[in-house]
Amino acid sequence: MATVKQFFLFSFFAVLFFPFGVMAADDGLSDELVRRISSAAQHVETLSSDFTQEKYLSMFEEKLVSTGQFYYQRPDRLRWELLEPIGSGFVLNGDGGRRWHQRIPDSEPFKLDQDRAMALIAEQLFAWAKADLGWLQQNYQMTAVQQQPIQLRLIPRAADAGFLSYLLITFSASDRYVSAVEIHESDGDYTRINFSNTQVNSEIAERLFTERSRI
Amino acid sequence: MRLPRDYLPSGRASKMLNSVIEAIYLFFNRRSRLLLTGYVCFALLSVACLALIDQRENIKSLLPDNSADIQVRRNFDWLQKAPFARKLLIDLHAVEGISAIELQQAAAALSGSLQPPLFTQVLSGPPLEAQGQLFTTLLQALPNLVTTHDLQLIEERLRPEKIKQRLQRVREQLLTPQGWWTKQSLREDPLALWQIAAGHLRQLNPMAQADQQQRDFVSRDGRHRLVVVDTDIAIGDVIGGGKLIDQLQQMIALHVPAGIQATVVSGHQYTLANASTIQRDLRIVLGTATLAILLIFILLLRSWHALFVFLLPASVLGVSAAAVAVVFPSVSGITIGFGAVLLGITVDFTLHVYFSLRGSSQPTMQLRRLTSPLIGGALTSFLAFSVLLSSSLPGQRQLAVFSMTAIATATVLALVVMPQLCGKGCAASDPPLICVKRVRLWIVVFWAAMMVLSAVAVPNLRFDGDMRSLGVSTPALRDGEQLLQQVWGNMRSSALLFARGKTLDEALTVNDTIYQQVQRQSSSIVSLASILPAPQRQQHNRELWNQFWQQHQPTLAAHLLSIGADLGFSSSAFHPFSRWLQQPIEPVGLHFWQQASLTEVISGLMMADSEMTADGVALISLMDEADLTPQLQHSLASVPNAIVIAPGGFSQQLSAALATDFSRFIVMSLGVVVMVLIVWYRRLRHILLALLPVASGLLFMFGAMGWLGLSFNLFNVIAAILIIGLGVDYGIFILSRCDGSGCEQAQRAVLVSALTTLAGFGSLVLARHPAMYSIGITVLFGISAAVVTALYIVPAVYQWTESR
Repeated sequence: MATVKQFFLFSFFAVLFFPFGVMAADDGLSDELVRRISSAAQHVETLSSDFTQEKYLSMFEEKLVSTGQFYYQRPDRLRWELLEPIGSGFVLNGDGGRRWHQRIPDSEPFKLDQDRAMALIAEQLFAWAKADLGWLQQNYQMTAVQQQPIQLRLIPRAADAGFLSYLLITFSASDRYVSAVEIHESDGDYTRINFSNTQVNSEIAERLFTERSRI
Repeated sequence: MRLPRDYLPSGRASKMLNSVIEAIYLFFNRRSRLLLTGYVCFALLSVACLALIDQRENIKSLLPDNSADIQVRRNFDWLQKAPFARKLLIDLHAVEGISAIELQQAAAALSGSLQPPLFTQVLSGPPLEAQGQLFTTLLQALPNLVTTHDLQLIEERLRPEKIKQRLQRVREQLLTPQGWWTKQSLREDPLALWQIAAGHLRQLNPMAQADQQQRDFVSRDGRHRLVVVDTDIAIGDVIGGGKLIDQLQQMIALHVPAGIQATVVSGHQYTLANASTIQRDLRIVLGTATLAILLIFILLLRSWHALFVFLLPASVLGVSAAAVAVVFPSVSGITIGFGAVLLGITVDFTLHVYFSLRGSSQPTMQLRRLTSPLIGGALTSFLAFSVLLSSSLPGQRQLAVFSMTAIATATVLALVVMPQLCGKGCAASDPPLICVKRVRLWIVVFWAAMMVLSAVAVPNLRFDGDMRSLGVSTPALRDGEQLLQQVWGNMRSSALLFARGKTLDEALTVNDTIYQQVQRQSSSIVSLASILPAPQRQQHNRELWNQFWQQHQPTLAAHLLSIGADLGFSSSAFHPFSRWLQQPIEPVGLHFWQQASLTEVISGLMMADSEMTADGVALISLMDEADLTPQLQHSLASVPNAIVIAPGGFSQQLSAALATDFSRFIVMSLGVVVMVLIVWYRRLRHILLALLPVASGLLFMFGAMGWLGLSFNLFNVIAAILIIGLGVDYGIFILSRCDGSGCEQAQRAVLVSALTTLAGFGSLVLARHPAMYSIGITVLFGISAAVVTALYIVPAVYQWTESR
């Protein structure tokens, strides 16, 4: 189960920050592709975006749609927040953070060394944010599906990757950020996240990485 | 001087003794080198014995070992196995201005800094929360744990509105990042039944006052966090404990910011507090005693020969310890230490010899007059201490052997060696201290009034068997204990319930019975039975579970389908749950929970019990002692192989044993002393007069302690025997002075004897250590009254009765 979580988390956050990572040429990616992605990643300090999440789960008759926002700042800050149909999210700031849900008025602090699930999120997130190429090579086999816009398929190398089958990542036309991610599970369920209104290197308020409240 | 023959406290035996002692004196008077050489050899032998004897510090020597009180000792053994006995508890309190996250960070930083070898394990929350598969494990275990109350809770969750509420949450959760890896779990358990089993797991948390919803040890107000630290350093290890606490304080200073108060509570701190208090006490007490004895020496002895008065008794220490080693398999360090203090009683003998013979032109005559009262006094002390042989406490029996040997040996040295060391013709005799005929009436009236006042308070006298009251507790430690109890519950002094079995299953069955009985009284209990019931109980629970679902599953399935459809769920969304309900249920065992990473939790509540069999097991449960009502105790007493120990109850048992022993000692000591006096004097008036210092000493001691609210404990009980031994000596010597049969310097010898005793024992009243102080104050009261009675009242009463 832990491995499953690890792969899922890795995949989920990997796709969000894919442009900031550096690809290895021996993964079936052309040198040109690696150069394009690496070059774009070098100049990204912050990233903010709206997202729409579509979940295609066998548990439901129809797809589940939700919307939200996410923010990232080098080297170790993140905010992931669902706004509709429920309010829920978390911030990560260094080795700790806070999480919340609309039913609870306050937010709950967590420490990464005491919360295994959130620690996995942070580990994967910061691995990408800091361009941890070694870690990526160890865990994923990467192939290009199309060149323009760039679309990559990431298949977990581990045999016990659990429900995660593969990830499908689509970049923006400028290669600078991810425009869509599909997370395919082994039982046939999948999730598509479309990013929109993405801003690169814009100024992000300090409190967005530390507090639940935006104001 | 002609002695009135009919007043002599002896007959033929006394004459014979006098002759023997006189002959020995004359023999060695011409061979003093031989005597001194022999004595030096004896002293060296004594020192060698002391060095060679293996002393063991064992508090058990102060616990009863007779069949009647064996439960006290057994309970003490079990008490030592309490899960929290060796842990360090650190409470972190956030004062105003410190946020919850800052407090959490401080706790995490401190936990991370406490590393082996000093700190073997650090917990800032229940270890059961540390791994991710717990909820699956709990769900699997639930059918084996479920109670009728649990089934009522589940039935509540089956109401349509509750199902709808729950399915809405499932839907919401699937939208969040956490939903990615909980999807399968939500399909298997949409009603979150695992939470019912989690309630059982929470019962293993001994922090009764903690917020049970938190992952860490967090108080209900969120302002306190607890860090629990394990160590291999034994509680009694002063050096290791010092390093441990120093290191901990350094880490607290380094990692706990201003605004967060760290309170540490552990047995090691008590050891250190005791050690430092004893060191401080020894400096003060020894300094005071040395100064006092020096003053006595300068004012009343005034000769280097008087050094032997102290040297001879001191030299019997090793031989007395050797006697204990011969009789008992191991020698208690407490016995030797306490026995060394008791050696002060033997100074009396050498003092009397010194005062009688120093500068005397007729040493043989003085020796003849001294021999009878000295042997009489020694015999009464010897027999008074012999009653300790009947004690249920091995330490007190050792003390009896030690004291009897010391008294016998010191008497021989006083009568054989000391006469040769008093100096010859070098000092004139001092005048008597008190003129018998001039004892003022007001002194007698004052004494009588004090005795009456004392008698009034005797019923207030108490016996305290609580060993904790014999140790040092600083205000900081008391405050720490109080804080811990207020914030986290009474975990450090919980009642312990042991379930013993030849096998684990047997122990589980006993444990289960205990658990059910406590639960029936609606008391909370920390017990493995909450997650690991006995096999037969699990079988019963599974039957309950199956019956419940046979009745409710069809309705639930219909509700899940219809309500689920309203929320967009497909008809197959919760098929895994339905399939799970129909699967056969496996029982849970120790291995099941160990695989779920609960080894740490289980090992704290489980131990080998080799007294049962090689594979014997004892399971430990904890509950608040306040909930342990007499009714519950009675019902638990009927459970075979169950042991219930409450710290308070243990103290009561020990107090009862102590009180019984004490009464027996006093009666027996007085009995043997009276017997000796009857044989010695054969006259009621003399017997009563010789007993007067003892009686008044004991009465005043009991009364003063009663008035001041002081209790008798394991240590100062011995002081009462000392008062009997010394008091009778005073009575005998003063009586011998009154009737003219004894030495003229008897009063001075008695006064100096009392002063040296008060200097040695009484100075303990300056000690801060409760045990030392209790001895000091007891002896101070007893000896003061006994010596005043001996010096003033006995002569006055003697004179008054003589004149009538």
